[in-house]
Amino acid sequence: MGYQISRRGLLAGTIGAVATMAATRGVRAEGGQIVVADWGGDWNDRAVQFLEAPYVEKAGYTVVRDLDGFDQRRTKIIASRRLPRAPMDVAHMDDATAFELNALDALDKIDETAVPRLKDVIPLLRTPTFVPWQYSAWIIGYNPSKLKDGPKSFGDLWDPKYKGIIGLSNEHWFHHMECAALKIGKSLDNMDAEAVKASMMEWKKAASPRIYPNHLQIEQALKNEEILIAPEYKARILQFASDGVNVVSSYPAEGGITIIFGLVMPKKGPNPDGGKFYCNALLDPDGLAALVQKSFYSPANTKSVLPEAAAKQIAFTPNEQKALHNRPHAFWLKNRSDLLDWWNKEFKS
Amino acid sequence: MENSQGSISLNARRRVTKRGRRAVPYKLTAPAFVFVTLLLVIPLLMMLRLSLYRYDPVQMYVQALTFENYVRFFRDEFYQQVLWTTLWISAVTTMLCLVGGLAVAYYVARTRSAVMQRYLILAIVLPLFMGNVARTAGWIIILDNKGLLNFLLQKFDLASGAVRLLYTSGAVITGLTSVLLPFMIVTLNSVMHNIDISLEEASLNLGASGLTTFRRIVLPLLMPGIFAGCVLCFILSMNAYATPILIGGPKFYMMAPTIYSQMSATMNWPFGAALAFILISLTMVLTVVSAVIFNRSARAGVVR
Repeated sequence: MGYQISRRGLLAGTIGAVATMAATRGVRAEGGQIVVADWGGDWNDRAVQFLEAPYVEKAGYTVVRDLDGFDQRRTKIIASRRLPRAPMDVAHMDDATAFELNALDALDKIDETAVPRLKDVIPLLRTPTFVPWQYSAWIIGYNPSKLKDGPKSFGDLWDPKYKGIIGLSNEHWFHHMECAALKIGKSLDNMDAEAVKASMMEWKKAASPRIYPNHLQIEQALKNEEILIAPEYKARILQFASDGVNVVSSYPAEGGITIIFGLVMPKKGPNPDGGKFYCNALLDPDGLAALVQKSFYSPANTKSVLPEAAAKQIAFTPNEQKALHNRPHAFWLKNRSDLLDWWNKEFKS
Repeated sequence: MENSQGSISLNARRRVTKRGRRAVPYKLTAPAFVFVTLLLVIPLLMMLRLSLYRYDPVQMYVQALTFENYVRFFRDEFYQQVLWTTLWISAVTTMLCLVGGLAVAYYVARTRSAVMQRYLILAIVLPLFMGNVARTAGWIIILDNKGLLNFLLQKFDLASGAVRLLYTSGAVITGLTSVLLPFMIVTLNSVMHNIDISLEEASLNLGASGLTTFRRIVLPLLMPGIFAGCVLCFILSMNAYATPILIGGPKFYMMAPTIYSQMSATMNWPFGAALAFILISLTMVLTVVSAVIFNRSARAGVVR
C-alpha cells in the first residue's frame, strides 16, 4: 500500500513549510541577531573586544558583522530605502553622514527611553537620530626631530617653507577645504565655496602638498619621513605615535575641527529592539573607557572615567574645547558633489 | 479506412514530435534566458533609466528624462581624459599579456611530458585562486619607496635615492599584466594544444627557420586564440577596479574607480550610471569592430 502525495497536498505542504521558515526567521531576528556595519580592521577589533563581546554577545545576542568601507555603508542604507527591510540594524557613522542620511529620512529616531545611557552623553554631540560614541578633532601632526619650528596654525601650512613636506589624505579631502575656510574666515559658519577653491589653489602653488590615499599611507609616509607634516585627527596622531612614528600634535590657532563617530539605526532594520540594545551597550562607561585608551578618541559618555595620564593625553584642554569648530553639515550636503569633483579635477591634477 | 486514419494520426504524431524537437533548444535555454534577463538585462535597463534622471544634492536624483549626464561627459575634458587613460592602459596591458603569454603558452603546449604539462597549467592557473587584491597588494610591497625594487636599485647603485614606482601608470600596467596574464596563457594554450605539431615539423623539414615556422604556420593558426585572449584581457582591463585603486594612487583615474566614486562618494548616481553606460557601450563597440575586422581578415586569407 503505497503512500501517494496529491498535487494539492504537495502545494499545501510547500506553502506550510515556507510559512514556517519565514515565521521562524522573524522570531530569530527579534530574538537575538543584530546586524552591525562598521569599518572593520582595528575599529571593529576594538569594538568587539571591549564592548560587543562582553556586553552584547554575553547578553545572548548574536552580532552579525557587515564590514565594509564608509561609502559602501552609506550607499547600502540609501539604496535600501525603497526595500521592505534595511540590510542592517546599526551602522557606525560620522556626524556629517548621519546628518545627510537624516535629511534623506533614512534613519530611525533614537531617544532615552530606548537607549537610557543617552542621558549621560555630552548634549552638544547628540542629534535625534545619532548616538555619539567617540570624538576627536582635526588638527596638525608633525615630526618634532626634523622640524624644530612646527606649524602652529592651519594658515602656517600655506607657508612655502613647508613645500613638499606636507601630506594630505585623499579620503579626508573635505577637512582640507575646511582648513582653508578657517584660514580665510576663522569660522566654518559661512563657508564660501569659491573662496575655498582659490585658497586651496594658493596652497597647492605655495606648499605643493603630497596626496596619499588615506590614514594608513599617511602613517607610512610620516614613518619613512617622506613627509614631515600631516593634518590629521588627534586620535590618529596619537595612534601613529604609539605605533612608533616620530610625530607630535599641534593644536591649530584657528581651533580644531570636530569629528564625532557614533551609531545610527536605518529605518526598517530587521531587529530594531536588538539595535537599541546594541546602542545602549556600546555606551557602557567602563567598556568605552577601556576602548578609548586604545583608540585615543575621547569618550562621548560623560560617565566614562579615564586614568589621569590617559585623560591628559587624549582630552582637549578647556581652551582647546572652546575653540573647536563643528562641521558645516548643511553646506556639505549642498556642495559635496561639486567640491569633490573640483578636488579630483583641479586640486589633484 | 482504418489504414488511412492510422496514417493520418502517424503523420500528426510525427509533426508533433518534430515540433517538440524544434522546441528542445528553447526549453533548454529558457532557464539561462530567464536568469540573464532577471539579473543582467533588467538591472541594466534600470541603470539606463537612472542615467537619464537629474542629479539633486539632497535627494540624490529626481525623476526626469534628460541627456545632461551624457552631455556633461562629452563637454568635460577631465572625464574624456579618464576614458582615454583607461583605453591606452588597457591596450598596453593587452599587448604585454599577448607578448608574455605567447611564449609561455607555446612552451606549455609543446612540453612532451603530460604530467609536466599539467603541473605547468596548474602553476599558471594557481594565482587565479587568489583575489586580485591579494595579488596587487604584493606589488605594493615590491614597488613602494621602501620596497624590494627600490632596495635593490639602491643596493646596486642604480639609484641614489628612492625612485617613485608606486602610484604611477607603469605600476598599474605592471599590476594589471600580472593579474591578467593567466587568462591570456590559458586561452592561447587551449588553441595551441590543437595545432598539429606535424605542420611545424613539415615546415622545418622544408627548410624554414624556427622563427619563420612560428610566423607563417603557428601564428596564423593561433589567431582565433589570440583574438579571444586579447578581447578577454582588454575587457577585464577596461573594467579593472582594485589594481588602479591600490597601486594607481589618488591621482590616477580609470573608468571603473571613477564610476564607483560617483556612485558612492559623490552620490551622483545619474552621472555614475551615465559613465557606466559609456564604458559598456565603448567596450562593446570596440569588441564588435575588432571581431568584424578579424572575420574579414580571416575571409580574405590574411588570417588562416
